[in-house]
Amino acid sequence: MIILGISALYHDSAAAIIINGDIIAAAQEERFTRKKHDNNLPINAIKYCFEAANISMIDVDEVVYYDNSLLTLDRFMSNVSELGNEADFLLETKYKGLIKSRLSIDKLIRNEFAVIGKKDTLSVCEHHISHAASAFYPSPYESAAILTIDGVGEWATTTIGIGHGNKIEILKEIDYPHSLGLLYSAFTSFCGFKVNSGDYKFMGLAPYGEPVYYDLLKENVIDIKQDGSYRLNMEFFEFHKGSHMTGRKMEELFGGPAREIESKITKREMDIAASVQKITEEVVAGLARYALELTKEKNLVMAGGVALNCVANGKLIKNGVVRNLWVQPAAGDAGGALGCALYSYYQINNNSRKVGVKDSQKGSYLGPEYSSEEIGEFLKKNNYTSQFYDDKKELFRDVAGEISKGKVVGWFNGRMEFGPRALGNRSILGNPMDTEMQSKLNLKIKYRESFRPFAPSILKEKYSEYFECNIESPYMLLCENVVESRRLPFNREELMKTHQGDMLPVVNTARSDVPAITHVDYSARIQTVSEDTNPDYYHLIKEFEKITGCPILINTSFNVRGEPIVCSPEDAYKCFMRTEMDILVLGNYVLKKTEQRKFDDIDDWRKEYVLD
Amino acid sequence: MFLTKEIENIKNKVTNNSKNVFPIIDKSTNSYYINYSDSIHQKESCCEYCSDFLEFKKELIELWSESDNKIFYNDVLSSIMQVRDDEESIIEAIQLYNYMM
Repeated sequence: MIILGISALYHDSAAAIIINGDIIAAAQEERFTRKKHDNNLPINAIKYCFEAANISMIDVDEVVYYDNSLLTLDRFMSNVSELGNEADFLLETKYKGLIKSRLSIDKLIRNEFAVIGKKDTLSVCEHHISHAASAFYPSPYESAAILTIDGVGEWATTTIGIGHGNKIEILKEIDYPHSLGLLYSAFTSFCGFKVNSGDYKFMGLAPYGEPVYYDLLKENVIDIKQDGSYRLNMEFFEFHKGSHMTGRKMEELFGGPAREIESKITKREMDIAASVQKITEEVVAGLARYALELTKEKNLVMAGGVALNCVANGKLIKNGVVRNLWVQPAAGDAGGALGCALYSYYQINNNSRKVGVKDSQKGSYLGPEYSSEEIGEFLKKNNYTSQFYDDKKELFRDVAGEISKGKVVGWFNGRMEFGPRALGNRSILGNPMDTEMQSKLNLKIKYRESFRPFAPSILKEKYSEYFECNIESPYMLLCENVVESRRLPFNREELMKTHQGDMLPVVNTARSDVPAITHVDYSARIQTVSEDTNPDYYHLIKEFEKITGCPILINTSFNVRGEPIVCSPEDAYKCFMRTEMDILVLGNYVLKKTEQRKFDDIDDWRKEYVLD
Repeated sequence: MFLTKEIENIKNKVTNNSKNVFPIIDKSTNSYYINYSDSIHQKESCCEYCSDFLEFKKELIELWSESDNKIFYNDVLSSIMQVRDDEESIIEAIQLYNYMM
């Protein structure tokens, strides 16, 4: 049975294809169109899925959309009713899109592909059921409590459910406008970052601040019950009106206007980030505890955009809320494409589900790959100078050697990752022991804010030597602290005062013997790398360890600020030449910057990508 | 101009009657969860417009229960598509919505 899942028309459009329950392929549309968070019908991603499965639309038994637009219409019209004469903006901007696209999703698909699978029929799955399915079905658990938290689906913003065998059931929900995801986004926006793409920055900013606004938030903005359920005080929010996330009341509460985008980040923003992060962790922990209690399960699975908050996830383990946690790597809307397809296969079509020791996400390496021949052809056609390695062991040794000398490497190898994280197939790699590597990578390679942390990829078996927790984190979705024995004395508050809030000198001060991946609170967003999931990446790190004694590489996504992660060799080469990266690895080929001729980049490429 | 007379009419109607379509914060309760089975959004009927909403929702629930649990096949969508196919403007969209109700 072949099922195609589609998420589209909100943000992060994606497609996924499963055959008899096996996840064959999944990809986000942005990777093909080079438009970050592309929300259009994922035509390219669908075509890629067909290619990977060697089928066409007429072979598909079921096509499923991840969201029920009629329920969204219901929520939208209720929103309009609530607003009364303040509904102008919402009606003028959002309604048109809803009617013309989301309610026409079947028409859009038919226009492009002539039919919608064998039945020429589109199935529709609720948004949070799609999330729940994406969390439970690929997990390594026979049964589990399910927690989904995001901005908003149709009505639901948070759900608790249970998964057992091939069935899932949603038990409880919290509805719009009360939304932890929208609360987080509202403060992301208030602090001058873009909603969705700026959420990671906001999370990365939190360790620079103190949660001094925590009580203020709880007294005024959000009411949290013991069981993790919550309500927002809508007097402080404007997102339901469609134009802004917050308004004057929020400005009054925090003693001044929202931060302008790209202006200097002040202590206030750092403290707000720390306070909102603390609130988020409290709610997530409460929801998780209640979900486990309600379902009497010991395993927990999570999805929805908030499940990408690796700091909150890490605290669930650290604080003993749960021992067994699995988070869908594409936890945001993209993962809904996979979830709705799996839901149709297991729940609706009642197919049996086999659970293995490992999850069935395949390392989330579900995107396109390019053969050595294809890469060779690309290089030859463009006359780019490269060195071919017949023996990959030699390649690993040479590249690891370059990284150990402080070189920055663009690493393009195997299938592209599904989800927002680069997991060693479309990654920029660097030496984690280099004190200045964090600011170098941020400012000269990624062209992004200097304060943003970098993640470590560590050999699975060496994890506990460097980090405090001993649970695997193959998808970079858990934050843990560097072990005390590796930490260096570091007083963030004092340094911030000394440098009058300038974060760069703070970033450049070593916090551990792996300073480039140790955040200012000694935390790190970890990826554990195992030989069976990604042998090439594993052996590269192993070679680096042989040279330096350190089993860790810095791993950041292969892109610049505002650009989607690279998909093809051409994307990778462009990104390599446009930045101060030293080396590019394309499968078996190694390219050195010094050997490349001047890149004929006619257009001002920085204008190509809207800053996130 | 995107706003049409029909939308203005709706706006006037709801402006005169609306509020509290969203759930009210009640700090006295110990939990804000709602049961999923009760969650097809039976908000309070504060005006004629909202009453229409409830009717619409009831229809949805019926269609929902007739279909295969939470996924429902093309029944509802196709009926909308037939009406909508040759329409482009927001006026027809509003009429479509009224038709649904």
